[in-house]
Amino acid sequence: MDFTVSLWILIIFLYVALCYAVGRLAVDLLDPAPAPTIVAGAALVGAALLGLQLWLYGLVRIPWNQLTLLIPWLAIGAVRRDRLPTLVRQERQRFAGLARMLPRLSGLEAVLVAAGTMVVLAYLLSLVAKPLFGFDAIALWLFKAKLYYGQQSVSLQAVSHDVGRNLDYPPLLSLMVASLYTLIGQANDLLGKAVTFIFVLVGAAASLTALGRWLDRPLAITFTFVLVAMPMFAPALLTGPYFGYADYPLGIFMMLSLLFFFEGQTTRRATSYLFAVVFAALAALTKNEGLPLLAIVLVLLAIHLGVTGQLRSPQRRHWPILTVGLLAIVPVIAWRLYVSLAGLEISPQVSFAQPLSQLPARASTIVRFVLGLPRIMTIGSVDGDRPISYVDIQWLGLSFLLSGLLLAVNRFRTGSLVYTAIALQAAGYFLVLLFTPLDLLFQLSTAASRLLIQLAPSVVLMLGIALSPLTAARSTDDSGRNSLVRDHAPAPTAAP
Amino acid sequence: MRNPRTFSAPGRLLSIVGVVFITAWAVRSGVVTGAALLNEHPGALLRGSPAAAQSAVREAFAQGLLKINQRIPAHASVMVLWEVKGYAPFSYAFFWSTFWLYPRKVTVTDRPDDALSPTTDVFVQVHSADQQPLSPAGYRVVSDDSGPALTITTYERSG
Repeated sequence: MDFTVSLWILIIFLYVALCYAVGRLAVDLLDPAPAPTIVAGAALVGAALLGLQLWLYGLVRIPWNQLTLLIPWLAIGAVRRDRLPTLVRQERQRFAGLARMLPRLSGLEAVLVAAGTMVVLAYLLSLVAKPLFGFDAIALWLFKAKLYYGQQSVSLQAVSHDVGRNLDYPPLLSLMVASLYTLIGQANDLLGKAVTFIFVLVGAAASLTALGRWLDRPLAITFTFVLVAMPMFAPALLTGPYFGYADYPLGIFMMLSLLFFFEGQTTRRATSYLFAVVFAALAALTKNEGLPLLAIVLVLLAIHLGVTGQLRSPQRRHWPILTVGLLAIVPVIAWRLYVSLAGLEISPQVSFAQPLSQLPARASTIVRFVLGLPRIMTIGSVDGDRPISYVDIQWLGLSFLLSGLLLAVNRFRTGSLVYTAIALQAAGYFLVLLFTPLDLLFQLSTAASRLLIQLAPSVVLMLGIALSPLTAARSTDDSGRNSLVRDHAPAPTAAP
Repeated sequence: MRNPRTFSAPGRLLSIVGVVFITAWAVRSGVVTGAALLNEHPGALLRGSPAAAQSAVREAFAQGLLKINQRIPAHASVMVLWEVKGYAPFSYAFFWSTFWLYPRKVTVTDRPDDALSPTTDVFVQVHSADQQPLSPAGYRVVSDDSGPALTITTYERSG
């Protein structure tokens, strides 16, 4: 019996715990009483901070090792030692609350929680134990992680002539993997791909926490189960073709950004708005598709704050939050500047040289290809004789349609901004494909299913948001008795 | 703010449709992902070794690179000659070689005429079984991995 897999699973759990501790310390600096959703996202905040810390170290020539990586956080912990007992108590209460909730689950809820937990553990096992063979993981993401770790800096000079390495892709995911390498003291490609696991955990925790406040408990658990076990994620988390790819991480960052956007709308908490921007910026630092999302979130946020009058009365206590929001965007700008100055831009992805007469045919090709994905992308059944489609395109499409109908019929304007964001992002993908100067069928065959993986978590969240006012109405009489997580925030209601 | 209990009948009906829809999606997710999960044989994965799983990838060049990685010095300069264009694209040879042999400086070419650089420490010839190994002067064979699809002959500078 080989214990490597068990050891590596333990290492990933320790990595997640460390990221959570770092993220929790960072969140505490901003908000001593953060919303439970922000706490649920803390592990990803920590993971991103450790990655960005390495980037900064590379710039100022500080060596990458366990000591240099952890010293700032130990120092922050030492300086804020008066807060630590409170933080530890809060965390103990949080986990004790979860433990107390488990025996109170109904039979169906317990089945979903148990099944979801098994799926999550199976993802971890597969991410750790299965081989690495995806093209983009080997050519791009994990290669750059190894390169950055080997050089101890974020520089692509050594590979600047490598055609096809997509050198303009942002560095965050590779830096997160490099931070794991730094912590374990060596580059380990097979373990590096398991960094994706932190996105599974945080996505599920944030969904359960947020939807637990907005929906009935059984419904929140059902939504979270779909978010965890959606067959579409199997290539990225279970079967292997997309192990080490950035699409699932990007999808979770996008979902978190929109989740905090909606939470900010319903609670007017400044830190919720802040984390909407922070996670959008992290999405933009993960893959170029995150850039339009960041722009969309910033524009919609400005419109929302302007329309609701929240821009007219900025309070002094909001300045640190505004500063952090601006700081979150700095690495995105820095990366684009680096790419531009180093001449790493790849050939344009959009060209308006296409004859207009061809556009309807190209649009039709895109639609037919995407709708045909379920027939192409299948996995074997248990007995291996009947392939099952793992692309949830019909489910995603119906879900988004249903969300739109719910928003329209219930005149739920608060939810319409998140809906607009997802629609604009999807429209952006469609337009890029429509105007790509590259071979359209090649682009579709390599990217279409992955673009859907990026959108899928947000589409599921959207349906939960669209259902929230009616669930809130149903539970008005028992004033949130069904909530998974208590907070002072009111459940969202439809606007007049 | 309007009383949340005054939703219209279509609104309530749609919410029921939404709940039924997400429940059906959960059932589908459980069934499909559950089937995929059972196909993965988690017990065997837990007992196995990731390195062994990687070396069992059913792809001859990827397997060969793992062996070469074990056999050659960590900072050798490597030249890979890719002579099996029909097997996989050149980009595959380039990205796989540079990834699995990192941090070594790896040059990949598909032209046999390319002279070996005087600084090349290791020469990897990837060819089909019916092609003769080049046996360049000044190099000795380190390994020769033959398979039905391709043969990987690895040379190291002598002396």
